[in-house]
Amino acid sequence: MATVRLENLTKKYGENTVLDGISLEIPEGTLVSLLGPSGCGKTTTLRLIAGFEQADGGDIYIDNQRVNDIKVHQRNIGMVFQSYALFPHMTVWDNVAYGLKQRKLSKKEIDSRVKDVLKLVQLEGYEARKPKQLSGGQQQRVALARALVIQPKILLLDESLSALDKKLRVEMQVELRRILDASGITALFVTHDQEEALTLSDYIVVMDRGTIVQVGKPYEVYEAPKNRFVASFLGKSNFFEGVIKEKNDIVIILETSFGEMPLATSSPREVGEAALYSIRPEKIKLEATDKNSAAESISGVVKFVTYAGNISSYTIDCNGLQVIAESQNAVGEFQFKEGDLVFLCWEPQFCLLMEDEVKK
Amino acid sequence: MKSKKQWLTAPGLLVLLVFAVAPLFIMLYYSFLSDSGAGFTLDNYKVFFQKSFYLSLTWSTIKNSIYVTLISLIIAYPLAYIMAKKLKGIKNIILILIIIPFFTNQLVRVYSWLIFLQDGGIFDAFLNSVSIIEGSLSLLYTRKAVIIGLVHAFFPYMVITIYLALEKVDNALLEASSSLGATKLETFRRITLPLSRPGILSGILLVFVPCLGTFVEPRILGGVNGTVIGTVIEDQFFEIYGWNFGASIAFILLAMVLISMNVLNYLGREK
Repeated sequence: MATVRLENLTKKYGENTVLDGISLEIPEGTLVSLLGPSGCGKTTTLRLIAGFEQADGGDIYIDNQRVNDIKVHQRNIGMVFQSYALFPHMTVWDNVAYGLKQRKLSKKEIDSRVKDVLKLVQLEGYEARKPKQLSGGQQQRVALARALVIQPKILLLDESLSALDKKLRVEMQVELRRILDASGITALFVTHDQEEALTLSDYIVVMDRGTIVQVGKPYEVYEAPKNRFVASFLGKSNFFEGVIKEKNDIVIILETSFGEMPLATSSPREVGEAALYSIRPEKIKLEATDKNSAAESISGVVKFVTYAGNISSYTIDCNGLQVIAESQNAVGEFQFKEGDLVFLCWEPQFCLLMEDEVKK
Repeated sequence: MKSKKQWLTAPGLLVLLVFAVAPLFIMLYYSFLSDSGAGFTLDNYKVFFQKSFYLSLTWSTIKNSIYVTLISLIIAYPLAYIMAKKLKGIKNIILILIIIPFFTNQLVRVYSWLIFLQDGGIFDAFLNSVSIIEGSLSLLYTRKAVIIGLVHAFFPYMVITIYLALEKVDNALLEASSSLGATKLETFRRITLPLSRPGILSGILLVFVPCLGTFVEPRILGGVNGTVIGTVIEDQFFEIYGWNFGASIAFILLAMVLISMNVLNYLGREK
C-alpha cells in the first residue's frame, strides 16, 4: 500500500507531446481509473509509473520517494497487462511464483504465498495448467494473482478487462473489486470504458490529449461534468449553446442558433454573456402539457423512439436542435410516439453550465 | 466436390513419385547389388562399417557439421535478437543482406571464398596491411576453410528461424518479467531464451542436416583435407563408378539425417 504522486509529468515522442505536465495524487488504498479516448495519454502515464518509459519532465513519487531513476525490476510494482502477458511456457503455478522466485524467497514461503493468492482469485486446482488451457477470465485472474503475490506497493491495470466479452467483463469487475478490497492495495486502472470506470473506481481521472480534465468520485464526475468533453465522453449529454438574453433565479432565456430557448437553470453568467449548458438525457422528463410552473419549457416533436429494453430513448426535434431524452420503461409501454408534441421538463440543478469558452 | 478437388494433388504427387520416390528406390536397389553381378548382398554396407577409414570419416563429417552449427548459432542468435527486439527500420536491410547468399550461385559463392582465402589472397593481404599477421594464414585447403564456407552458406537459415521465433515473443512478456523483479539477464534466461527454443532447434536442423551431406564446399575449399561423406559419395559415382557402394553410403547418410531429425524433434516436443 502506498500513495502515488505525479508532479508535472511530461512525455514526448519526437515532436508529439503525449503527456503535457500532469499532476495527480492517488491516496493510499484507493482504486483510481484513468479514463479517456485512445491517445489521451492514460497508458503512457501507467507505463511511466511502471518504469517502462522514461519521463521527459516531472517527477513520480511512490510513498514520497522519487522513483524516476529506479529501474523497473526494483520498483516493486504489480502490473496486469491488457494481453495479460502470461508466460506461455510456464504453468499457472510457475507464472504466479515467478516474481517470488526473483525475490529469492524460500520454497516454503513461495508455496504458501502462491497457494494463498490462488485461493484469493479462486483458481485452486488449476496450478498445473498452461495459460492456453484457461479461459479469458481465468487468464485474467492468473495475471492478477501474479501481480498481487509480490505484494507490490501499487497495482497497475492496463485495460485489463477489455478483452473479455460483456457478461464476463461485468462479472470480473465485481470480482476485481472484491479482490482489491480484500488486499487493500492502491490501484491505478486504465480504461476507455466509462461504465467500467464508474462501477469500479473510488476516483475517476478523465484525460484528454495529454492533460487531466477532471478528477472526482464517479458520481461527482458524472453528475457535474466540467465541460463538453467530460459531459459527452462520460455518458451522454444534450448541449445548449448561445447568448443569455434574460435570466432570473431558476430560468434563463438562451439565444441559440435554433432560436430562443428557455432553460430551467440558475446560472452565474450575466445577461449578454455566451454560455454552454448541458443536461443528461435521463434528467429530462417528457410531458404532454407544460408542467413547469415557473416558466414555459422547451417544446418539440418526437422524431424517433428507440426501445432498449430497460429504457426508451426519445429523439426530439426542438426547432431544429435534436435533444435526446431517456425514460425508464416502468409501465411497460411507450409514453409517446413519433410525431407527438412534448414538453421537456427538468429540475434546474440538472442543467449545468460548462466551463468551455463559447464564442458569441 | 471434395473428391474432385483431391485430384488436383495428382500432378504434384506424380512428379514426386517419378522424380523423387522412384529414384530413391532404384538407389536402394543398387545399394544391395553385388559388384560382381552375383545378385543381392549386404557387403556394400558391411564394408562401410568394417573399415575404420569410413567410420573416422563419418565422425569427422559429424564433427564438421557440429562446428558449423555451433558457430552459426553463436553468430546468428545475437544478430537475430538485435533485429527482432532492438531495431526497427534498418532491420529489413539487414534481413536482405542475410538472404543474399541464398540468391547467389553456390559455385560463385564458394569460388569467392577460394580467392579470398588463398595464400596471399585478399584476407591475408588485409591482415598483413593492419599488421595482425605476417605472411599467410594458409587457410585454404584446410578444414577451417571448409567450415568458414559452410557457415557462410547455412547461417542465414539459423538467423531467420531464430528471428521469426523471437519476433513472436510479445514485448509485454519481457515487461511483465521485469515488473515482477527480474533483471534483464534473468528475463533473457527464463523468458526470451526458452520461448525462442523452437527457432533454435529448427535452425539447428536446417544447418546441421544439409551440412552432413554437402560436398561442394569441402571439395573446393578443403581439397584433400576436405574429405567428408558427401565427397566420398560423389567420388564413388563420378570417379570410381562404384555405384553400388556409393548408394549404400548415401543410405547410411540418409539414416544419419533421419536420426538427427528425430533427436531434434524429440528435443523440440512440447513438454
